[in-house]
Amino acid sequence: MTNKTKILIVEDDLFLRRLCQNKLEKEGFEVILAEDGMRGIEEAKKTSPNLILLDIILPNIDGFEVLKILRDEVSTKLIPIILLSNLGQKEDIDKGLALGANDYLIKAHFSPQEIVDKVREVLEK
Amino acid sequence: MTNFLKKEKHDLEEVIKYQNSLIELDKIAKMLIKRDLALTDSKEKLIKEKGKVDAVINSLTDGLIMIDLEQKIILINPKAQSILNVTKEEKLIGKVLSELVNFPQIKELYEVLAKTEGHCREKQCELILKESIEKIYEMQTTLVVTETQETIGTLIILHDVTRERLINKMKSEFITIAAHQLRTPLTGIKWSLEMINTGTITEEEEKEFLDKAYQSNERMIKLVNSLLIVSHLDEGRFVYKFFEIQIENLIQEIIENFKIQIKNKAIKCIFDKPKIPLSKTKVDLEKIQMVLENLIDNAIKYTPQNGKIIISLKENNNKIEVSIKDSGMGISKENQERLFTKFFRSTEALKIETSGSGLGLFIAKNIIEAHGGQIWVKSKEGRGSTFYFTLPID
Repeated sequence: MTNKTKILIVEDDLFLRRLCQNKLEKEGFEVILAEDGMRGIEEAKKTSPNLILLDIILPNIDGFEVLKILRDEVSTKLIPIILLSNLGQKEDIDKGLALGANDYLIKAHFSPQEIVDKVREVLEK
Repeated sequence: MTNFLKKEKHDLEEVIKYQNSLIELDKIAKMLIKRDLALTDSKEKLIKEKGKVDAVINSLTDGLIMIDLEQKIILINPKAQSILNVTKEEKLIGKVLSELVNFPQIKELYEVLAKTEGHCREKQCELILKESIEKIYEMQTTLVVTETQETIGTLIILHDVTRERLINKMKSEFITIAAHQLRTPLTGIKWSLEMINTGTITEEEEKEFLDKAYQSNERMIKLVNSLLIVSHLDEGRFVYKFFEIQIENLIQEIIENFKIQIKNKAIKCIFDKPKIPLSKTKVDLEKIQMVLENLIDNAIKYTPQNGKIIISLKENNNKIEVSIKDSGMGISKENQERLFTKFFRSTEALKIETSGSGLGLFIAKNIIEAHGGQIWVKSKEGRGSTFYFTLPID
């Protein structure tokens, strides 16, 4: 059993998933990966991560749907979720926050370090 | 004698007077006739003018309605009748707008008018009419004021902006999706550069990230090219440079270019070349090459290790038919229908490769159709897909 903080990354792009994983592991987190919405929900229920980094454009179930499902589910209701997407329209951001995301980051606007900083910030709240 | 003379003089004077008045009368008569003529003339002119104005109003492509101060309709042109879905036989003139509740479209118009009363005057608002399809009209209302500064009613002009709105919507959707698609490889590049720069990774990781960042960069270049092609397609500005080609040779060449990818996945690639050379076909070489590369690239991408690809050629009925058969996971019926639409990515494709732009087949369809050919797919889930296209021979 590790007592590391567990982060679930739900991201379909292999390269971004790999980079994000690498960075978070180097920062001392335990990383769980999911490449689509369905897997994301499964892993969230199974592993109860401390925080979820959730992409929006995903195969089968999109991030908004995943967010909705996780917020309706007792076991995952309180897990902090940061939306990490390249959709940057105001409507998308508003929708994500209204659905209960703790934060919304546009991938291309943040460096891995800044993402880690955000993760820590949300975890400390 | 004097009396006689006097009388004579008097008579003479009378005659002159009489004659003068006759002349006067004649003048008046002539004047009257002239005036009458002029009146008839201007009456005719007026009728003619009114006819002209009516014709202009009737042939306007915008809907035109005029209501008086009591909101009675005093004028409605045929275009407005058709917009509001009322027949010519309906006697609307003289009826009050608010009483025409039986006509749903007029009711809608009245409600917009009532809602914006006071601030929509001399301004534009929007009227949305729902029939089989939604139509959007720009509604402009203007007060009608006479030369003596008397307000006699309101003029309502309805201008159809449905198409403009649709184009605007499509454009902004396109930009939103394109931005998202561009940001993904950009993010990969940015993240790997930062991680290499901060020196927190191993040498092996550095090599891996550099490699992948380079691929991301390539992906962006391709994507930008595809986006440009799509925008040219949208504008109908897709110039063709036609060359007469032997399609077998072109296909052979393209297969050669894919040799490494085919070998890496140990795919068996069969080019079923006909024994007798096919007729030459006149095509835009660069564009047809693009189509073939896209289809063959897809076939390789979605065919598993040790799979099989068969490329065949046929000629009949004045056309050449090219088919590319893969042994991939196939495409569901539902996804097949949308496969050739802009930005569409099938759920099957997303499972294998999430980085595609969703533009390749859309571009291919446009190119083939611009050549007078057709493109389609036959596929069964789990049993591979075959893409076909035809090119006419002239």
